[in-house]
Amino acid sequence: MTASAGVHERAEILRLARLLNKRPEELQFLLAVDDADLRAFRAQVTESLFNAHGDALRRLGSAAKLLPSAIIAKVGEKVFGPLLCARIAGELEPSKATDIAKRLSVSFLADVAVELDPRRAQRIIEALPTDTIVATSVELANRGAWITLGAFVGYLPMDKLRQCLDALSDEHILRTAFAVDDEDAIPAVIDALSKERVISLLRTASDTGSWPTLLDITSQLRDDQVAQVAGYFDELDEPVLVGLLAAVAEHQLWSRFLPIAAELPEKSQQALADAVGGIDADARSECVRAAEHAGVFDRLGPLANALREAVR
Amino acid sequence: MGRKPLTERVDGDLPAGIAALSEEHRQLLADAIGAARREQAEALAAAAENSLNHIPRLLRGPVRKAVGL
Repeated sequence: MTASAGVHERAEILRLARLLNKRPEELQFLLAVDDADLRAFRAQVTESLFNAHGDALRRLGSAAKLLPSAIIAKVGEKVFGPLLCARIAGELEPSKATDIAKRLSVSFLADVAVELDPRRAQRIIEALPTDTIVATSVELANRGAWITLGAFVGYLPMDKLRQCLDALSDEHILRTAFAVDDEDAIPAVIDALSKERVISLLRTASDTGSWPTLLDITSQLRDDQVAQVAGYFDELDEPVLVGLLAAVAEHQLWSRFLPIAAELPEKSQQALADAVGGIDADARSECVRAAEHAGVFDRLGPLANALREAVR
Repeated sequence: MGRKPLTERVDGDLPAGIAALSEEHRQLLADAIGAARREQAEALAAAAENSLNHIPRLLRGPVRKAVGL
């Protein structure tokens, strides 16, 4: 992978580039910095930008209290623009902000969302009507604004999260999954999805080559969710499982995949066992090492037997 | 006007991975933060003044006072 392609694989670099109004390619030198340091630095930059003109923003917020919402909406869209509206939003009472938001176009709300720091607007997000949030989410997804969508995942109440997920396509959800800012929010997303939808997402991940993104998320699941999702693999056809095994081998995702493999129904473990011959010897050895390291080798059923045979 | 170093653009210690970047790259980040702050300041000044044209005359006085114009 080239360095310029590499920056597009790192959500933290994309978030920082957006905040600093830079093209991701201009920040290639950040590829050497780990995500934890990038996240901490992004928090510092966000504070610097939002606190830079705090007094002026607070004064504008005070002025907004004096004006009817219809006038503020008009001034916001025609004069302030999305950046300033996003900065001022945190200074408004949620009820006032909601009343203004109802008068703004979905397209403009999406522009504001791109500039918004969800942490500073959480009370407004909670107060906004669900249909406004859903329409804005769909608009952002249609624009491919995955970084923005990913930033809001941890800040949506469950009922709004569920309706947004219902409105987005499988591919939209998988692309957003790559960009989820608050990874602790992943279990709530799984709770919000029906069994049928998770199975549909697994099939779409197979069709679109998104297994690495999906497996990356699995490390955030609760133990009961690992078993629950593994159970759904029973519904997947053999070619999907063969493709999954090949993706795990290619991207060396054994530590992510094996806890799920240990919980799979025997039928699915057998399908993987039948496919083990299709991956190269180094990958098979790596799989055995990772399974022993994770203490799950004995729970891989037919897959363990096939691996034992293959690496003998 | 002198260029501010990154350590003066943000509060607190820089994360280790950022502090370990070359001086050139740290300065690029510092300049980008400075540019974003300037853009924000210019937008604020223009917005405060221009918004008055869209506000009913009766309300302009109180709004001017609240905004500090």
